[in-house]
Amino acid sequence: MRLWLYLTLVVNSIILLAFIGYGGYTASKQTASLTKDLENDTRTMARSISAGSADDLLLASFDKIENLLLRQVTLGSVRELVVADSNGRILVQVERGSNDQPRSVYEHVSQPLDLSQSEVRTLATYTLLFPIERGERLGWVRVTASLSALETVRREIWVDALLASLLTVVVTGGLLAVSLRKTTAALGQATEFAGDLIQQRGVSMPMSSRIVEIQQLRRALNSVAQALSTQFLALQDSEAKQQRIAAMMRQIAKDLAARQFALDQSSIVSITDLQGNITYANDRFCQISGYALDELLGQNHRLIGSGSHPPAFFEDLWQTISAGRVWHGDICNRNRSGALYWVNATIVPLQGEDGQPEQYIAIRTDVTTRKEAENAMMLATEVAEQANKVKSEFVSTVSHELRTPLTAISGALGLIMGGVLGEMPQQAREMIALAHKNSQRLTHLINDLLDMEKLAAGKMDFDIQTQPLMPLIEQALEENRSYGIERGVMLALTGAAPDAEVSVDSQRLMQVMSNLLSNAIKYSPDQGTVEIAVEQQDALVRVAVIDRGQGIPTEFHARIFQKFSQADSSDTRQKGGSGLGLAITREMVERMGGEIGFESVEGEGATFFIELPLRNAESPSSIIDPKMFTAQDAPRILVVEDNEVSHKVISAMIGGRFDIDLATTLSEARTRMALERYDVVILDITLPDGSGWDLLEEIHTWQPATRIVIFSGTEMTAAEARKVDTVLLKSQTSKDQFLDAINSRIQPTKIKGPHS
Amino acid sequence: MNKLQRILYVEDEPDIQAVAKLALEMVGGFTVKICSSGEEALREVEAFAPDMILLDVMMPGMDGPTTLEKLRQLPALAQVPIAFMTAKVQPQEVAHFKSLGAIDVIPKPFDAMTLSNQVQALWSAAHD
Repeated sequence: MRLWLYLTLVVNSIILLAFIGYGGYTASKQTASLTKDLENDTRTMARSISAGSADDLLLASFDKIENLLLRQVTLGSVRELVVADSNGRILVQVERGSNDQPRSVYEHVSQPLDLSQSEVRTLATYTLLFPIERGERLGWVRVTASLSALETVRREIWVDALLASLLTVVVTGGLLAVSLRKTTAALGQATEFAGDLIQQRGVSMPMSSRIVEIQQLRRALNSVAQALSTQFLALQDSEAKQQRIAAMMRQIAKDLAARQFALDQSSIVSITDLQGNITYANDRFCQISGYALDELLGQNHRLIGSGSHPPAFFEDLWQTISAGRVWHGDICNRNRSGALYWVNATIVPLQGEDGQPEQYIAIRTDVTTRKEAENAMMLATEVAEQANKVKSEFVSTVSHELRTPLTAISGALGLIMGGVLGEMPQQAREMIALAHKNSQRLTHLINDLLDMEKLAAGKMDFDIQTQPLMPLIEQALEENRSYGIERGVMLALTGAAPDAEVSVDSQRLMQVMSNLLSNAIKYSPDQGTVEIAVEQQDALVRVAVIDRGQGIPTEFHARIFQKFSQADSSDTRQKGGSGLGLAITREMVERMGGEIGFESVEGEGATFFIELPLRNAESPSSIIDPKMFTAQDAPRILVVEDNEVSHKVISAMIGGRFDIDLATTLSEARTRMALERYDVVILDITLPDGSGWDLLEEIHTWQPATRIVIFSGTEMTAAEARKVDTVLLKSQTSKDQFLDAINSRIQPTKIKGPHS
Repeated sequence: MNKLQRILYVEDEPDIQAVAKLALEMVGGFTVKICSSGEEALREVEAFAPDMILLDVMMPGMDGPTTLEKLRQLPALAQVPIAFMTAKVQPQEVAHFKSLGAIDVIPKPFDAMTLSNQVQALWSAAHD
């Protein structure tokens, strides 16, 4: 309902009720006054009739009484007059008939008057009973007056009141409606304005009323509108921001979920509070520990402690993580059924706003298999080392014990041979010479055995110095020239590399050259020449020792650098070699970073050559000085390889140049990659928990800058090889090729020789 | 002391003693005294007053390095060069012996005919 209509109805109803109340009051007041007058008039008439009819009653002159009554009955409001005797028996009764004509009534005279009530009021009449006395009660007068006049008066008053009220209602209602509609129209405008505010259509409300309150309302609404408008703009801005943040959060949540999924697939994850009480554990944790989640939550992490680490181990761990640093290491745990298992754990403290650790998150990988293999390997290594030590001591002792008598024998023979003790018969001289030659051969054999033993045990020290090559070659030539002369063989140096500098142990290089030269002299024909050809190539220098002997049979080529190998056993005795010389020579050359090889056609002589990297040239990429890298930029390499032997081969080839981490399974590799960034991943294809190819996509996604080198035992197809940076075959890869493959994966600007 | 004449050789092995004595005396023309142990050498050395001392390394009782250390404590021998004669000739072993005060190491088995020249060369180098 509209406000103006409502107010109008309420006001009019009030007015109406007021008039009705006033009419009722006035009507009742008026009629009460008239009733009083009528009762007084009636009483006066009754008294008058009583006085006028007493005598006639005594005389029983009822005609006179009737006349009196007939005169009186048309006065005022009288309707009926009755005179009765003292017992109430009606004597005369007259009434006002139609047209106000008096008439006597005779029909009911036999019915006596009711004397019990002196007055009776009905809606239409008023009846008064009045005694007639003359000293004594003679009879009764009853006057009945009509009240219809009163009713007429009352009705008139009501009609007036109603008419007045209706007139007032019409006039007031109209006025009210008009004025209220104007006022409430302002409210309508305010309402409309509020609607506009919501839709941002208006910014101010038009002035439309003279009413102070409406004006105040308008001003208030305009202020509200302005404030709202400002807030709305801020809200829109903040909504846009929130949408952007929400989009970012969704992306982060997605990334995190993906990472957590990946982590959960492979890793054993738990979170503890500062006291080590478990607050979270993933499925893998429950699985490996054998405990249900509700058995773990709230329990201290010591629950899975194995007791196999010394207290200092955990002191170090707690000191590290409580200082806010990451701890990394292998831990032995005990599962619910008491079995031990090993995990490789990384414990990361999560810090609060104050920088203090709030909780610790531990990510572990099951390395039980690896650890058991390591332990078995360690045991085997210990046994082997022990055996090796015993062997070394044995060889050393035997050698020394052999040398002592040899020293005496060869010394004595040497003196005799030298003629110090005088001349001898020819045959005796020949036999002594034979004994002397064989004592020397025995000496060489013992020396070679000791060298071989030392090389095999890694106990031969190399004093590597960068130095010019040519003086060493010339010295070697000089030292072996006498042996050549003895055998009638000439030594000739051809070619030169005057500026070549190499990093070698000069004594060992001398030993190498002596071995090659003595071999060449030994196998040269009488009056032959052994050529020493020196040639400088791009990044290396090649020293070749060329003889014109019988050459090396083709079937022997593959075994030539093996121990105790000579073309045939009879040859060994004939040429006085131990069969260890070339094996030792190769070992020494490789230990000095060089390579050895040979070329030979049977019957046309042999060429043995060594190649040494040049130190003063632009270094080849394989020669990397680990000092070139600082701790921060040292390249990180992840080796994913389950084969222990291959791992050792890789470690040996990398040789401490770079920091390497090892993963023996795909899952271990995933964990490593979730925790650290690597420059190179060296990947085997056949792994216990899947194929190395499975890891490619994850590497590309997580660490797109990482280069992948496949190091496999089997050949790849061209399509497979295109998926990675380099493919190397285990059986065909040299150390240099391997290092080249890694180096070309690491920023090339850093790979420079120390002199460049 | 401008000529090498008197050599003290400390060696426990009689056969080697004999060969070395012969080689040094007959080939080199030196006066040679042989001691069979470090203890004996310490007793005899001052009386003999050698120009040079040759020491075996592995000997029962006092070994070569210990003997060297004790000999070096004798003021009279301050200027006398001492060399080892041993089969232990790995580079780090040689370096160790030199650090103890030996002038050099003559490897065993030695060449009897050239031993005198070797010893003479070492002595000369020490007196340069």
